[in-house]
Amino acid sequence: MNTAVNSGQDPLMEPSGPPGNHGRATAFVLRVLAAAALAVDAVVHVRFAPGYQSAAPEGLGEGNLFLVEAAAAGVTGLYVLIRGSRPAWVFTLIIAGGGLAVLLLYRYIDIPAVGPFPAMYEPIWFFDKTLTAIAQTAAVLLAATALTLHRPGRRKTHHPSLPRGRNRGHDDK
Amino acid sequence: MKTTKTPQRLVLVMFCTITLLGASACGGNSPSAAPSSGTASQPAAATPGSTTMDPGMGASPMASSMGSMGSLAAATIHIKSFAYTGPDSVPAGAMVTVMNMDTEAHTVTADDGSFDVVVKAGTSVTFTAPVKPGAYAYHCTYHSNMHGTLSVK
Repeated sequence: MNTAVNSGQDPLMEPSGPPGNHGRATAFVLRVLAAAALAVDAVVHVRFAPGYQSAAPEGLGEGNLFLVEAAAAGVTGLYVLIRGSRPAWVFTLIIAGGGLAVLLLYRYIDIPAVGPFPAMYEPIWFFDKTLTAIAQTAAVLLAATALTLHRPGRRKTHHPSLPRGRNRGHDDK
Repeated sequence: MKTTKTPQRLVLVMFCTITLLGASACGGNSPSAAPSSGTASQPAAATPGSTTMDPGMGASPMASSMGSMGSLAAATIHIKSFAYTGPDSVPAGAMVTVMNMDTEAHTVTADDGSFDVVVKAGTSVTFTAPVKPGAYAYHCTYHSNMHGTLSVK
């Protein structure tokens, strides 16, 4: 009964035969797109970091926070591009989703300086900011798609990137 | 004992007096110094007060990038929500006041370098408009999406 389910290839893992080619291609496209979106996120933040650091140097400084976001996005982009594992997609979801949440928060809510975080209220949209928001949204959607396709119940074949225990039945052979 | 301590006490009294004077002087400057260290948290307090003090701003220590002190400002450029709004034109060599009502610092920097002032959050500064008539495009060096034009007649 479960044969059809069990034999279905996970698009986000290495295929073992011809039926997996489509899944492999899908996984590759998702990974490349997510990495590209995170690269856009990183590049824009790096470009704007010096100016924003001068504008809001209090606490950690807005520019430094931009650099943190850029570094996280860059590393996560490489991670998801190279590995494409479930943890990589989870990181993608967290970094892109967190960045998008902060962007929207400071776009619409005038939050004063809190602890090491300066006031970063910027009630406008402009090209680079919109581009970043779109890229982050795309990365979130791609990660959600990948995680949905990659959810534990779908995987029945061994893959090195699987968390321990998920392939127990397969490994016990 | 007493004779030897008297000069010391005198020195101590003088030291305390100088210290108190210095502290009171620093206290007097604290409102202007505050924006540089914590402007983001108190823009609202600085903004209303500076709207009607263009002439006085010339003598205010808040204006760190002053042109000529004491001159009446001929025009005011407002910065609000990361956008410039100002007069269509100003006389050549006029004093131009820039009021920043945002919670972040901005600059008014001429593309050709004719003028360049930094305006911290909730503060005002004044600069002298170019003496040569023309349209001077300016921008914020911190926020590259901010642009404006100052017409000098």
